[in-house]
Amino acid sequence: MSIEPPESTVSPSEGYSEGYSEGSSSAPSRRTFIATTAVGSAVVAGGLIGGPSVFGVEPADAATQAPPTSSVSVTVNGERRTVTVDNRTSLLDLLRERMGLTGSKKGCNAGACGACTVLVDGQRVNSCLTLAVRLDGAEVTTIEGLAKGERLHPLQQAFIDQDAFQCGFCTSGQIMSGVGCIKEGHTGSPEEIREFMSGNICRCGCYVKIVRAVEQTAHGK
Amino acid sequence: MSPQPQAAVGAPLSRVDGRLKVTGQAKYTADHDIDGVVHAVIVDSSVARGRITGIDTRAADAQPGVLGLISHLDKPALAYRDNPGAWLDPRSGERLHVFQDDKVRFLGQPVAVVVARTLEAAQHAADLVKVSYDAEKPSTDMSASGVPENDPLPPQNYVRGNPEDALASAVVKLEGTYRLTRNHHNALEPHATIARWDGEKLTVWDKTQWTVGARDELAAVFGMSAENVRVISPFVGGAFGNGLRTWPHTTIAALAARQIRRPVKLVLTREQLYYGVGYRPAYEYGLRLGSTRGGRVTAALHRIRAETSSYEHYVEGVMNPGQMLYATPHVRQAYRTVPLDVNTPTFMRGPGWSSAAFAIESAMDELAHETGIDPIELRLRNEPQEDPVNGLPWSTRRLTECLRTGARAFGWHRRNPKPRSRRDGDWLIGMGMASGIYDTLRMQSEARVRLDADGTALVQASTSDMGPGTYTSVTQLAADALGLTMRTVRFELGDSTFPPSPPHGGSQTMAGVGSAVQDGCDKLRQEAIKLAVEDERSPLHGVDADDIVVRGGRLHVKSNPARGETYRQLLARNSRTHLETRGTFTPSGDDRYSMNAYSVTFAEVAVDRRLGLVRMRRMLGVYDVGRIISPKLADSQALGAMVGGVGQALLEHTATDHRDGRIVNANLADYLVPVNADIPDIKAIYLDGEDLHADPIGVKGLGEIVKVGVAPAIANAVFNATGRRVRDLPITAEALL
Amino acid sequence: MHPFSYTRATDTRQALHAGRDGGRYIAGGTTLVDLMRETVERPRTLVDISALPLREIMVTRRGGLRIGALVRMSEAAAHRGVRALYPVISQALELSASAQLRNMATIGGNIMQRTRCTYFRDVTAACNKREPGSGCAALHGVNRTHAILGTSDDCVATHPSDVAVAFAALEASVHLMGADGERTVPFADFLLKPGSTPNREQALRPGELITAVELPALPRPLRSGYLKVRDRQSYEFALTSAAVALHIRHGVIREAKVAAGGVGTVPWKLTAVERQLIGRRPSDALWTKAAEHAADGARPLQHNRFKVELLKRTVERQLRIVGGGK
Repeated sequence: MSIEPPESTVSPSEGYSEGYSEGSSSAPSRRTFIATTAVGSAVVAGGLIGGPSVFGVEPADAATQAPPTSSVSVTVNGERRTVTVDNRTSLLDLLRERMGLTGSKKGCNAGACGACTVLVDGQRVNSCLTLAVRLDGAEVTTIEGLAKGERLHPLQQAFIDQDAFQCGFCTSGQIMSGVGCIKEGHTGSPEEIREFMSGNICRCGCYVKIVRAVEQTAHGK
Repeated sequence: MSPQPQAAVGAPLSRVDGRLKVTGQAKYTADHDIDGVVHAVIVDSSVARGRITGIDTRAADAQPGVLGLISHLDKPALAYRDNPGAWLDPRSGERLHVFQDDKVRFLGQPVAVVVARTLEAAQHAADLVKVSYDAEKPSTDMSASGVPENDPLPPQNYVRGNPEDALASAVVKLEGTYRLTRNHHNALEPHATIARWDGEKLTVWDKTQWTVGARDELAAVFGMSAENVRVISPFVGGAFGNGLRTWPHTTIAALAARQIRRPVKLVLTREQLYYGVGYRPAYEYGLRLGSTRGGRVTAALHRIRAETSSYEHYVEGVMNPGQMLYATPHVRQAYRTVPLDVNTPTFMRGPGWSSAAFAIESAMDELAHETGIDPIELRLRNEPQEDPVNGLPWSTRRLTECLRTGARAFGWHRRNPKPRSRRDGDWLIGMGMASGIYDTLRMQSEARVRLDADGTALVQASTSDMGPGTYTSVTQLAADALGLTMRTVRFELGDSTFPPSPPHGGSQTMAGVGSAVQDGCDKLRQEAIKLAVEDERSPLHGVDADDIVVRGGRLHVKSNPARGETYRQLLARNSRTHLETRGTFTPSGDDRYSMNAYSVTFAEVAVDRRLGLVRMRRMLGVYDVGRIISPKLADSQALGAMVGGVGQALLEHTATDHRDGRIVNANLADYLVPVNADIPDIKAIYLDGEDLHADPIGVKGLGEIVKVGVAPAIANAVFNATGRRVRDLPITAEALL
Repeated sequence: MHPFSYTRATDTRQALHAGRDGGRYIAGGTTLVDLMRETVERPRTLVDISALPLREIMVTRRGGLRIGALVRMSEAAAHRGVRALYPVISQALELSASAQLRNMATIGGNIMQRTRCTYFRDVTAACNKREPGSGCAALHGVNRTHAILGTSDDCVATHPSDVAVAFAALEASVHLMGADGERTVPFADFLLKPGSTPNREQALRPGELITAVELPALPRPLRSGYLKVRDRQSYEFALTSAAVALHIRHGVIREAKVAAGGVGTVPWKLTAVERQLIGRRPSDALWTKAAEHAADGARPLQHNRFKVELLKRTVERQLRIVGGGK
């Protein structure tokens, strides 16, 4: 199964193009983030633990119980994979620890740095805050899936051309975020790029060149 | 200087590891796929001072997948031998010994480690470990009243001339206390270690700026021969100094792997990085200046206090700039550290020098304002002709050229010296500048160079590349020295089994490693030339070796390019599989020159006149750093340092709740580093030149100096914009409302 | 993170059923997953509601706008109707978090967002919100970012949302659905001030689900906008913020909707400021005079005294930006 190249997918705003009119609904026309397909597709191994409190104290026997797991089918870089995951596993840890895709980085594990940015159903998200169990049926694109064989994605090439990185640790996230930024159309000016790329921290301080790389790619410079 | 044509050196080439980095293939420590690896998570102390009275591990142990748990209760055997090679460790005090006793020295100290089959299980089990303490009231505030200056060592002092008398008789006198808060490096890559034992041999994948240093420290801690330890670190995701020492978590990972008998991966959480790997210490820097009406600084009295831990006495080069940036005849300095219940500080980009520069360069701006002298002119008037500390001539010192070049390029003449005189809507606009100095470090380095029969070369050194581009710049040097194209030279680093390199810090990598590589490549090329000229079958037979150059892998007579042959032909004919040499660099020990790099940073800020927000408009850095090997990468380093300086000046502040020693912003949402939207277009200019007194390749080091004057330049711009002199960093809205 | 079981609701009934059984709803998850990792949140069951049909934005019969609870922040910000009718909403959204987080987080989740108070997030610190009765470490701790309005001795935590400030200003209402049916709660009543029960943050009944936020029809033309003041230019919570909407006709302010963020335990409606504005002609003098009331009743803490003045100036500035100068 292959996925559409990110640069040719529908832009998010198109989903709403007819949406705004008196009384009409403007439901998204495309699937985003969470798959809405199969009914009951997630297997809940542990079953529902009942109880009135949602802030439950640890159950007395929790220590000896195996943690609940689920089976998830997710398409990663065009390849459909079915895995059984601990419900607590983030998409980031699934990619890194289970699938050998270590290009996505864990910089903060709290959605505050952007190093883990990937595309889920075409949209840039923080994979560290995305529970893998929720991704049944989703399509994930990581930095490893961006190039076509030996041919780099134009933004990857632009990062090299502009020297838009130093240590390289944030680079995967920057590039995935940049792909999202371009797709969203937030590249009208350097200021707009700066703002819409601010979810990706570069501690080496390559921002000026990151903006140039996104500009180069968005405007075919 | 090499007799070889310089094609790669000085050319604006892209990074040789760029493709690996943009495709996610570059392997940082936690990315290595080690067969059978299990996960370790550290449990940290939640009190800052006291004793551990109990560790309840029952809930953690019962978690499925948990393989083991280690704390001081297990009395793990660790030798903690002296490590004389750890010259970067504080000279006084003793490194933290993990799990050796029940004493808690700071909040966040590792008190146990949990190992489990999966990361989720290890994290959860660590959460379930219940540690009880007999806690005491900690002391974590350097400036709290009543904090005793119970420094076990006397303060460091420096004096020249008669500073008190000179100050008393000075026409212009200024006094200020400058405060710099604690900063954390916050490199994007968290520190991580993967440790694997194969019998007596320990292999460690580690985030480090010094593979051989980590090797020696692990050998000392585990009481084993350094030959049995290998440290691998091919990519470092930023470090800025906190990968120079070998921190407790590296020991913990190796210890856990030994106990569990499986390879163990340990990655610090972002929060743990605030307690586990050092930081730039907070400073109080009192400065009194005496000057003539004409702006000649006659006296400078520096009183410097900095925080350190209770168990190690960390000091850094904070005294140097006050001694040598300006020709001040009368100087007194006292520098003391305040031991607190905190973890030990460490080097952070421009360590000491940049903290001093904030005080000194802010004070110079105050003096310029006081005397009505332009800040650039003021600095020109205080330019020393020789190093005032020892009377040595400068190897090269082009600070005045930096000042003049920068003033022109930045449009300094448009600055109105009267504060608060330029407005743009709600924004007050101001310009400021500051100078900087950083010493040129050089240390013994070695490199291995091998030319294979296929005409490609492999160069190896144990150094690191935390982002400056060591891979690329060393390849550029090697390519030119060997007469090869960039494509046919591969440089490998980040392995302690490679020839020894000094710490990848202090801006000394190019000087040391670069010079050693150059030496090795020169030797190899000369060996090949010798082989050719002595080989009767070679077209170069009998030619004077000095008349031969190598280009594109082909040796030929300099004046007659047609006469020559390739390395491949030469080696094949002589049935040589390869040629190999070892390059070395030993810095000259004669100390005939004072060697330093210099900077001038210019900043233009906008300050919202009502809301007190400071936003950068423009920045320019001008540098005298000797020869630039890799201009494209050097540019990035300077721009990045300016971004770091924006953080230090306006955003970064490790905030501690002194009631219990807890850092309250130990994450990247609350500890603010600059984001893309904070950074305007910024520029860097490197003066063309070289310093061959420093090293054979003429470099003076640039990673540190580019950071040194950034924060004071911004603070001075804020003064020019608002008329407010803010002496505390970071400068936030409350200071400007 | 504590173990939990997971179920995905395919329709609202199923969700409510699971919610009634003690399941915790998860939508974007950007707050919940983060807090679960810190073990601040320890749900035993997560009920994934993202497949529910709550992703519409529609114009109501009365001319207001109804934003489904599961509409992503980025979708709402980009929506033409939102941009045209309520710029203050789209601005507040676009000044929140990061592009990635806005692609994940939902409108319903945003108003359920929990505080960034560092002591709340640190399970080893005293916090009445997290652990009733344990005390408030922030009251005398490091409290630069904490609230100055709506605080109690038990809690001084700031509500972190930006768009909720715009909702408060515009007097939105929250549509809820529970086992007993649907109901609508005025936004002002939806988020609760801490009082002596800071652990109670919303007027939600157990198992109740947010289905939409509705913005009332307002007289047109309506000028509106959001100003966010923060140390960093982007990707940071507000030190102070102001949501302002003004209906000016024949040179007179007929309607004024003003609220502040970053300063209150809940988004802070500035009725005193609104009163100063209505019936008067826009002028710099009026903005200054009205904004003087922005911090009425403020109770600053050791490190956030500056917010009192900063809040007034933030409101003054935003009144001028929206209402015009001179």
